[in-house]
Amino acid sequence: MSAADDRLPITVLTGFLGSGKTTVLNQLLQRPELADTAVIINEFGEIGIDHLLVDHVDEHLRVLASGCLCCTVRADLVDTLAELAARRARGEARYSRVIVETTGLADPAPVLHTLMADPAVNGQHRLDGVVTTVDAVNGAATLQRHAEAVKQVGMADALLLTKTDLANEEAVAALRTRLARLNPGARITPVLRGNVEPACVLGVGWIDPARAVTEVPTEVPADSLAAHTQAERLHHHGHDDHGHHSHHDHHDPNRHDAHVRAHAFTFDAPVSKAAFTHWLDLMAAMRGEQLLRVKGLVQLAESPTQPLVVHGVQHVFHPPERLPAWPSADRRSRLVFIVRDIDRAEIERTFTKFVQPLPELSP
Amino acid sequence: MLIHEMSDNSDYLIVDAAIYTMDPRRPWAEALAVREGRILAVGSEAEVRTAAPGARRISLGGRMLMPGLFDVHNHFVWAGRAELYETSFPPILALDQVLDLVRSAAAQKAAGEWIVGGIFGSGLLAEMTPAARLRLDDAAGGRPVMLRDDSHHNRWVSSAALALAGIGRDTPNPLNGEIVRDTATGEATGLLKESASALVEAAVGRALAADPQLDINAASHAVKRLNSYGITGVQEALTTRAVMAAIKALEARGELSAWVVGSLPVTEAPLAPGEAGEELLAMRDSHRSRHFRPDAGKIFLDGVPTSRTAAMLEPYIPDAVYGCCWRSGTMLSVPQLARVLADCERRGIAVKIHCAGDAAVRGALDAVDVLRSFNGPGLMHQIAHASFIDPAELPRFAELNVLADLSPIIWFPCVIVEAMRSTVPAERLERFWPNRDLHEAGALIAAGSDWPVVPNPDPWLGLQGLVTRRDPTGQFPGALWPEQALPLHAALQAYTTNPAKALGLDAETGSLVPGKSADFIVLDRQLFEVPTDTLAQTRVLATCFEGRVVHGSLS
Repeated sequence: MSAADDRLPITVLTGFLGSGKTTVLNQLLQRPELADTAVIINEFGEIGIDHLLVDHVDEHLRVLASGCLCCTVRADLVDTLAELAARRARGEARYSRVIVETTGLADPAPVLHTLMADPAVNGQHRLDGVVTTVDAVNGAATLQRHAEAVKQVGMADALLLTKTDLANEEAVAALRTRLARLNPGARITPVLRGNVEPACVLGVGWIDPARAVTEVPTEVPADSLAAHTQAERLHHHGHDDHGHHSHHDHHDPNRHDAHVRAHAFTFDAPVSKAAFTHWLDLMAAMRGEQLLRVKGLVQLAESPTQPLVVHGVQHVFHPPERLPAWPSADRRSRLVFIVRDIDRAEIERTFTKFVQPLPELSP
Repeated sequence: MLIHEMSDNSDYLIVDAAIYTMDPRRPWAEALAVREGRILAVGSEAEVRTAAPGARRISLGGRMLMPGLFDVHNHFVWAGRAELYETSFPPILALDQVLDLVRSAAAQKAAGEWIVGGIFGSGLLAEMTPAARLRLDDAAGGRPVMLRDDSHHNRWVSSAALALAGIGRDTPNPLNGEIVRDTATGEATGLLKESASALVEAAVGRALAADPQLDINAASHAVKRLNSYGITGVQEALTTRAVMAAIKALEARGELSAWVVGSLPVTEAPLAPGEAGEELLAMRDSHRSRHFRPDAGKIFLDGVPTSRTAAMLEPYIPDAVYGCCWRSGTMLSVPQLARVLADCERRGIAVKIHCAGDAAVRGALDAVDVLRSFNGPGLMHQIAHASFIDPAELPRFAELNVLADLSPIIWFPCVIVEAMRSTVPAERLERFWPNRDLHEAGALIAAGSDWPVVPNPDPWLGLQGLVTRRDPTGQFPGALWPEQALPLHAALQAYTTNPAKALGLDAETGSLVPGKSADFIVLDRQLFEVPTDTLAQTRVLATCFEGRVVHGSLS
């Protein structure tokens, strides 16, 4: 269980080309809080760490003044992590957390799948969170043009809004609204010149009992609930006012993020673990490509005091883990689905059929 | 004579016939008119004459005429190969008799030429030791030999065949298959189970591929044989590249005298290794033709009960190898199967799912349930060999729009049922083929032979078996779960209208209704007036496909 989890946390840092990801990383690496960090990047050149460099271990691995290790991805991420872990075991390298920086053009899903589900990785490491940089100046246009950028936002636990000093206030506010609609569970932090508090980047929400609940919202902005249908008993806590006049662009089918929506659910009745995980398996099999991110805390009938943590990216779900205790007095189950072209009604219908009939849910 | 006369596509009338139309609006008629291969009118002689004045008149002297039959589960190209090139014997022979036949076959073959044959009864599996393989080598004069068992899931092969298949001492078992080995020495015994059979089939396939004409001749032979039994619609049940090529070539020669729906493996099939995939699916467009619709899919969800590979809800009879509690399992999980079905529906492919055990039937229905729950109504999929079925599943066939493919023709005491007695507990085997329960639960049922899994595709054997539950050949006494006997009309629907609907051909054929293809047969007896235990002796005097006589004669 998480309380005793001594595996090394991995943070994934992603963001579209030019969104300031490298600047953020460069600044973070100079902070004492990250001194015990190993960073895995694609190319040393991209991040410009030469001024931080104190020791050149080999062509792929460097040691920075802060104590950070910095290495490039070799054959693949799994091999690189294994090699780092081996060095650590031999006492040749010292680190207690890992940051993986992805390439800006990439769909982050394959990297997340590897970190979540590859047994060669998750024996010694755990995915701590996904942090995505979004450029306040170009972010809106990028989201409109690039499906990868929408995925990077949809899969994030934390969003860093960069270059806010270069954009006007109205544009920043509009972008924030748009980001909150795409991913209501992710905290949005404005960042200037890469200066970000490590607390906004580390421990932002995977299997972290202290944060898991706060990262799964019980409220979703009205914009995210396009055409939601209120099931009588599987009730959610969104606003009922659709506010159609305020987001006419929402329905432009050519916009990449017009298809992405968040659906949040809160319910009281505990569920059977077998039925619930079977339903997640079915969601993954039947709708995997359309699930950008699924997060949740769920009360199980078998162990009501130890909630099940749900984390999924597309068709891959983190192996089910339970927290030793609920992080707060609120023991309601909560689930957030960030999806592409899936109706709320479909999630409700299949949950009702495969997990529990509606009459068994509390009113 | 009439074949020649009718080749000019002119109109003709069939009169003075007992026409069983399979059309509930007009079950019986005395005459029908045919124009350009289609049914123009059905009714009284006066009515059809009005529709086609001046057309030639053919009197049937009161004989029964009904729609051409379907066989929804048939491997006719393979069957044609078996009949033309292989050594065929019934699955009741002792090992010594099998070896004698191999010896005679070897006398006709060149050195090194394959001897392929079957079928041996699964009861012989235990005798197929390394010593027996050496006797097989001797009988074959060192030639490669491959013999199939009555389930068609297992093979017995000679040393030369093992070598040509690349099977040595260190060859690993393939997924879902077993190269049976001597427990003491580790040497391959010559017995290959399930997907291991594919290793040697591939070697035989390489020999066949060297001459494509062999498969075309096999297909031609098999279609003629099916026509002779009155069959004018077939679902080919494992449509590989070679099978597709042979059917296409037959169509090009104008000899495809039946509607054929092809079932392409959409997941790796133990009997067709390396076939499933995009390349095969892409062949659909280039091979589709007027009579050939390669638009169904095939999935094997489990094996067969005789080799204890069918997925059962209750354990098999205990034995030394599998222990006390072996139930076997399915090759895909419910979410996996649901996903494959969803992908197939997106491409317009209805899938035939092989489910020999009741746990596989449940898994398949669960997967279709998932499919419908997520995607809503879709294509009619099929559960093939719907024979062991938990009573709770019966209503789900209709609810989920799933066809029960009743094949092979083994719903009465027969050699395969006998072979199952050594693996399936007697009380379970007594509840084999709940055909009547399926029918009464509203399930669409359709009959098939699984030829050459059964050596004879004769649908009249199957029809009698459906209504009597007794062995029509009289070899095996008694009845198998006689309460499940079907009324004759329901059994006839399983051979005509039901398969036409399941295969999407109901606008084209399956009943005698104006506008449909003139696919009909003339019988030597009135089925409703003869004792049910003589139905199997029915002779088809004429088979017409698109109005053209393709077997027998109308005169």
